[in-house]
Amino acid sequence: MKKRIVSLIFVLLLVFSFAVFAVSAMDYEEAQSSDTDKDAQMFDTAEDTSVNNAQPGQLVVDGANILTNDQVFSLTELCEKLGEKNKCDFVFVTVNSLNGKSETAYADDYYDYNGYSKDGVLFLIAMEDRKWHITTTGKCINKLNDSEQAAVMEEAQPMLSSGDYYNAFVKIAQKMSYYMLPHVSLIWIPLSLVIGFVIALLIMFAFKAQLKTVALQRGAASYVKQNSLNVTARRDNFLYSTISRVAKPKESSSTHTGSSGTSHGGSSGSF
Amino acid sequence: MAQLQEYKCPCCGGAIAFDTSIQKMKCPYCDTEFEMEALKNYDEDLKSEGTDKMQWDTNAGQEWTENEEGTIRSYVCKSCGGEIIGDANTAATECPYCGNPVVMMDQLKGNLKPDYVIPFKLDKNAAKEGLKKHLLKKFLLPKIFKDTNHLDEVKGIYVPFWLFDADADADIRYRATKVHTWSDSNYIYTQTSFFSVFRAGDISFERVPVDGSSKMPDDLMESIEPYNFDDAVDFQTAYLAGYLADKYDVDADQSIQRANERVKNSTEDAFRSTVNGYATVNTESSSVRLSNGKAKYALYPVWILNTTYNNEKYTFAMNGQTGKFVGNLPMDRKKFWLTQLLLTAGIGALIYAVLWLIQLF
Repeated sequence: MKKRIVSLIFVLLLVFSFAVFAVSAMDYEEAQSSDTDKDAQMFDTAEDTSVNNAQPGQLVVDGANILTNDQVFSLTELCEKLGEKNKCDFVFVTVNSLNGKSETAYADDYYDYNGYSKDGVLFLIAMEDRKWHITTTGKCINKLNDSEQAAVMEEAQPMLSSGDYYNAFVKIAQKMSYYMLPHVSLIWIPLSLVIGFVIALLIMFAFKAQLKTVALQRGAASYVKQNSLNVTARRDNFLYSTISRVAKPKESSSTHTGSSGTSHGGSSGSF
Repeated sequence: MAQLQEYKCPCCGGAIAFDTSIQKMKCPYCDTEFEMEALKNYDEDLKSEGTDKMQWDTNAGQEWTENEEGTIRSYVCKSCGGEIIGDANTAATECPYCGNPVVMMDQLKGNLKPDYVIPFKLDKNAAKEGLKKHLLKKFLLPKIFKDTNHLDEVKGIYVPFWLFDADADADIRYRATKVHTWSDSNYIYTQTSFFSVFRAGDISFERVPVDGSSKMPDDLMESIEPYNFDDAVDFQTAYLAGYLADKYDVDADQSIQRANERVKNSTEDAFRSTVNGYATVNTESSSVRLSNGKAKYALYPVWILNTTYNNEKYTFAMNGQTGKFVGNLPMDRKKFWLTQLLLTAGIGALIYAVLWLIQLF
């Protein structure tokens, strides 16, 4: 009886912990989508004002003049909030032209020479070249790896192509933050249950094996006369060998070093 | 009527039996103990006495056998005159009327006389204790089985075993591989080297036992192995007093197949253990030749316990020398699936929690 109560409590705890994790995961997603709503409300068709002369450390630099003042303001607010949460800088830079540089070099140099902290992510968009680039620095190189960057851009790419820059940036900032903070996809709930089932089955088979003690003996090892094993011939001949090779799994974050000597991760694309 | 042997106490005339704790004959009525040596001489006398009667007995027995197809035999108890029915293989039993232990001398004579016997070391209580212990720490055993478990019968039986000695000569060829891996900046390389490994040699086996009674399931008898042959003594009928005993009904030639199988497996295993330093080893061909094969006949002590649960019979066996206890048990299906469910939820939650936790570092 006592055992049964203990196991009941155990189960309740497990179900509870599952619920807590699931709810917190959902809360997080909800919080993100409500952010989007709030930010979207702030979107209005105010007059275009360019922000050409960027201050050092400025989080949103709209050199290409594709955002309204309000949008810059609310995007900056979002970047500050997410930056604090992730303990790194979130930077958005829009330019018209890359001035002959590659988008990678431009983004890396922009991050290195404009007074940002040692950990951060920068999203660069070049309007004339129709190019974008994500550069990651410091701890963010590993926090946001290549495949996660690809996942970030998957949803944002069509928004950029259709010219919905502000919402694309908001999406990018939120997705980056999602992948950089601890996160476990909900698909892992059924997956971990399946793995749990298999492990549990193995344990149960071990218990079941306790009940079966009758079996034929395989050999007669207990009846070997002591030290009677006498090996008279022993030949080990090498025949042939084969060599196979497999490509090394790619590092999850590919890095390169910019002109300032700081190493960066990143990915780029066109829109 | 076949001839019966009872051991009578020279002191009081009561039927005496072998006592496991003192490894001597002991009279349960007057507590007198007798050395096995003394009884051996006594045994000799009885044997010569028995031969005279044998002609007459055998004839009578055969006549009776024809009528009854030889499956049962009847004996007359020397103490009370009651009729004891045994089957064709019964060599020792007790009288159902007066409970005195009796030994059927004809079943243990001539070719049927065992070479060795390992006397019982553990008594009936030890067998019952053994069952109790056997039921402990079995998580999936139905609780009702433990609670309502009452024994139908507990029998101490001397089971006939054939003991085979053999020298094995073996030539075995293996295909073995060694694996070496290294890597450069782009690739991981795996080199697999193949070897042909040859081993030849010999190995000797002593007294590989094979159950000589068709009544005893072979797997049950092999499961309570091994017996320690150091305790074996030359056979004397007196050891059988107080226990059941069967003579063999599977002869040595039939039993040798099983011994060959086991010897071959163990020979291959032994040579396999001399092939070291490889990643994989597979036997390609193996030839095992046995020589100097010798068979001996011995009686080994076994406690058999029977119990019934849900109209099914469960048989347990205990090694009467070492106390090794075996017997398959029923499973509580409901408990199996319930625990499976709980563990699935528990381990699943644990995995999910760990996935969260590892990201915090």
